Amino acid sequence: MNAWFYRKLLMLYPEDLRTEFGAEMALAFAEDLDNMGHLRVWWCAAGEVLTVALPGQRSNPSVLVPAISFALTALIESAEIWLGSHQAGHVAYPPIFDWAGLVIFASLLNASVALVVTRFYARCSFIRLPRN
Amino acid sequence: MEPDSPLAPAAFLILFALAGGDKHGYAIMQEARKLSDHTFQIGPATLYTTIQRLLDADRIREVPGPEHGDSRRKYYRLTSAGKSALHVELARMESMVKKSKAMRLRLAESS
Repeated sequence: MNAWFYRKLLMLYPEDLRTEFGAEMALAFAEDLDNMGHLRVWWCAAGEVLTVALPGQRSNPSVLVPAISFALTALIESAEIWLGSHQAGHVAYPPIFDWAGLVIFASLLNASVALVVTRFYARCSFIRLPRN
Repeated sequence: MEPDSPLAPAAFLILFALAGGDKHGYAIMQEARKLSDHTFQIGPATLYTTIQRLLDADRIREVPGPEHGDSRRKYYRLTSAGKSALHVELARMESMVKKSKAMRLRLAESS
């Protein structure tokens, strides 16, 4: 299950790195799980998505646009919930799981829409938006 | 990679790990962690991104593994350019250590 999920996570990495070293990265990850413990290894893998995968995808709109959409939606939704709680006249935060669930759901939804639009735009030769 | 620019921590640790002999990726990762006293968290992505850069810069190269080794693994070896880069980096660090010792003495005298 862990190895399967890590292999899916590799999709976020630049294609050349994945093609050349993907199998070895998955192998190293699996060995690390056995030797270092799940929590530590997954923490490191999550950090590498932010520090290695996403910066490596700066030129790939199919990853960059959904990632920006996810981050912005998460930020806006969190701010809305926080402001909404304060506007109500008393500080009554929704339970943490409701709050996190709402933010993650909305962010994933927007990121998915952004991905579909980006893919559609990339495939449609009749749409050419001015770049400057 | 600029020939004489300071090495990034991951590149330095990988070159240092390979100075002890040919290794595959996971062995490099373990050695790099040991060398840094486990203070530098190097994961598979950092490792292979750096390996890719070092291969492009001709500082390491891929070599055949041992005869009965795991065929899924690739083994790497330091090139002469890699040895030279490691030598320059170690000299830079030694110089820094000398300066820091002098600074420590000066600080101790002034306090």
